[in-house]
Amino acid sequence: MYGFSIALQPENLFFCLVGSVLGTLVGVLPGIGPPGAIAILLPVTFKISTTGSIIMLAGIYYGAMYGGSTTSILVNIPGETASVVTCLDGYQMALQGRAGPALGISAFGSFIAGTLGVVGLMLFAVPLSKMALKFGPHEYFSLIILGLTFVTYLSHGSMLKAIMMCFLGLMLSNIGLDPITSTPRITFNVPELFDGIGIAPVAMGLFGIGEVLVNLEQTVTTELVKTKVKNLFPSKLDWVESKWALVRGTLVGFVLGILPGGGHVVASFLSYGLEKRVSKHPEKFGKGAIEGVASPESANNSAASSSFIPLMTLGIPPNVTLSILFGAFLIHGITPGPFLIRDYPDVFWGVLSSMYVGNVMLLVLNLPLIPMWVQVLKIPGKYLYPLILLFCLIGAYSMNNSVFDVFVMIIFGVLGYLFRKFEFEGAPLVLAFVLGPLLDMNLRQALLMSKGSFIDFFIRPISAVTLSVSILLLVSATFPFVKKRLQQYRESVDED
Amino acid sequence: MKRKVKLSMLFVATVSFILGQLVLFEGFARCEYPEKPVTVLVSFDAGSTSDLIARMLAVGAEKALGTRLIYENRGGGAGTVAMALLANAKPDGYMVCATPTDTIAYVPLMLKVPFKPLKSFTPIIGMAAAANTALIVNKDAPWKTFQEFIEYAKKNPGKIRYSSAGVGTGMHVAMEVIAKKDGIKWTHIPYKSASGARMAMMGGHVEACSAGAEFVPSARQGLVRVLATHGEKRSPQFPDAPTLKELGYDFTKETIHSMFGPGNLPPEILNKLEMAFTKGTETPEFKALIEKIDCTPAYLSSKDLDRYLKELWGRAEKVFKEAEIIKEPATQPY
Repeated sequence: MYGFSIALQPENLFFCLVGSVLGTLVGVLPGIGPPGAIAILLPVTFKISTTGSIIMLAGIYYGAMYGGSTTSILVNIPGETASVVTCLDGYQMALQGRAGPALGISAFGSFIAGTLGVVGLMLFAVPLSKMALKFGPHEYFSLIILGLTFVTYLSHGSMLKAIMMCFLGLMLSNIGLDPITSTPRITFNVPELFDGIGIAPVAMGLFGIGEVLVNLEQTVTTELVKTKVKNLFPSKLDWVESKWALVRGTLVGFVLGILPGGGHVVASFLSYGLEKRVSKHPEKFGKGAIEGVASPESANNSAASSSFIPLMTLGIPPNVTLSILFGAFLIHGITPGPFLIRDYPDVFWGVLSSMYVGNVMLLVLNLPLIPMWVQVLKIPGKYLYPLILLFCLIGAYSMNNSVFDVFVMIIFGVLGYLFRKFEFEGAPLVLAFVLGPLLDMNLRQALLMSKGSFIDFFIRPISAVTLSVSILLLVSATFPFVKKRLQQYRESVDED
Repeated sequence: MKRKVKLSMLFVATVSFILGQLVLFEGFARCEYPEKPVTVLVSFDAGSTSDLIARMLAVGAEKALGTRLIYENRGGGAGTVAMALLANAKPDGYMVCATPTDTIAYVPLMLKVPFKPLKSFTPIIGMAAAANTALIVNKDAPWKTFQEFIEYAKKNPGKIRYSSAGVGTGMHVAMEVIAKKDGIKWTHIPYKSASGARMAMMGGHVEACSAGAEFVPSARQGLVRVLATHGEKRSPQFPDAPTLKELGYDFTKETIHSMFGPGNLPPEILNKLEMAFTKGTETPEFKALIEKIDCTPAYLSSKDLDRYLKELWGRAEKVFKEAEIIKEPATQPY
């Protein structure tokens, strides 16, 4: 209740609204994902209170989960990755003139799952944070390794490329003064580099500028559905068909959201697969089954809530968006972690309660606004992209009033463009970049404690389990490759 | 069509509103300092003594200065990471750094740092003395007194691991002095702040902690036990804990939490900052905090602080050499 008294202050209510609206906008517009949007808005939060700014940035994150489904359903363009699955059945429903129920169930599903997710977060965050004190350097190190392994394992393209990006991120994070001995590392005697490079210019470059450059090449042809969006609300039958899908989606989402490495995306895929398996009529999936919309949408929203658990209790951001949010916390002088609840109860409970309030706002906003969002899509790229570019440039400069940061951002913009072109993902880089300093410090502390022996990593139970999971994941990823090679080898033997 | 235009306008309006905020808050150019918010680097992580003191200063200082103070925690290298940044900052008065004097007079003796401790900075003000840092252990640890702890450490070389706020801090030096005199081998685990070091001990990851003044509330709650304090006199909060000096070690930790600007700060800017931060130390809120964390008010003007640091460097160099912690200073002061 204490939290609500903070979340309901007019100022915070306003930021919650701004965040939710911007989030929905970001979700609807293809191209700018939530990480880009949060990175771009980071400099603005300097001028407002800590609680207010975190509330706003968090609003963008879960707001995007709502908005993302809208375009998936209406025009078959996922607003962001977690809504890719929604396209499968959602667009089919829209073609059949049932866009209303599809949008309706996804909005309600998101609301129900989002709200339940926040309740779960409130219930489990405190016990989890107590457990977090047991986490020493060994455990943290292993956990970070697991996070990085997950993000590479779950990458969409080549895992090798993802690992390369991961290492690049780690290397970039080492630029600056050594955290223990203050020795300059990879700075080439450039004083600006003593401080390392900032997360904001890197993220804005990779996700903002990179996106703009890629989009400059494409002439986006959007095929709008001609069918009129009729009744907005799902019928009784729709509800009956999708209620268990909602519940299962919420549960799957909540559990997977806690895991590091893009949990909400996996959650939406997994819950869709689960629904198809338990369904009495699996043949309907892909042809406009309402469960196919309800379950992934509820999954990605409850995952969005539960992914705050590792961030707020362990200080480990489970995905890219939250790693930028982690940066926002640090900029405001707060280190998220086991002591966040005790040291900054106003921030912690305020943000959590605001997520509850935000979910209500989103539901109220989204239902009547759905027809309007489709119109926003029509903003021509020639207006939209220069604006984003301008916004990034001003943002990067105003963080530290430093032209150096602007150059860093431009370099990463070009890099982001090249990465996109050659199908390297930015996510592992940013996650590794944010976790790098933690990894560095914890590894060194752990090795000092165990006098240089690596065995402790495999003796301490929590650390041993997490490391084993990472190793298993890495090994299992090489199986298809080995299999292919074996087959090739056998074939060549047969030919002889 | 009309609707489309309207919506595009709406989007443009939203964006320009946010941009407008950015520009407005930066403030329109006035010709007198300060024209915009002043960044205060804090040389240890959030929650450390430096951090608590620096943040409480804002209450009075912001009003006196007429602008906001923006705090940035840059922990690492026992405070020298933040100071290296300050050494390279423009002396325009928009960046200052809050750090304990350890960062100037202790750490550079032991580590080669990328600045000249007595030349690269303009001392602005000394705020509070934190001499009563202490050697602490968990409440359920087997050692009830300092002697028991030392006995155990002597008999079990390499078994004791202790955490501190970083290499070269007064807390680390105190442990080194003990180790050299008694021939003890123990392992130092440096953290980026005293609070991080204390948490590691409370989580059971190290046996002891050479703790910063921020440990006081946890000791009063009975969570940790104080074995010895590092100050000149016994701490009034823990009268039962002996000082290192009483125990026969030739080391008295002197730490004054201070505020620094980059070298060659123009006198008119220095005066304004000194005045504003002085006002900051005079508020009841600031005084209450100082008392709560077992620090004592130690107001030093810019000139006094400068002289104090030069003397402290000399004293520290002598003690460090006599205790055989160093042979020669790792960094030259000028």
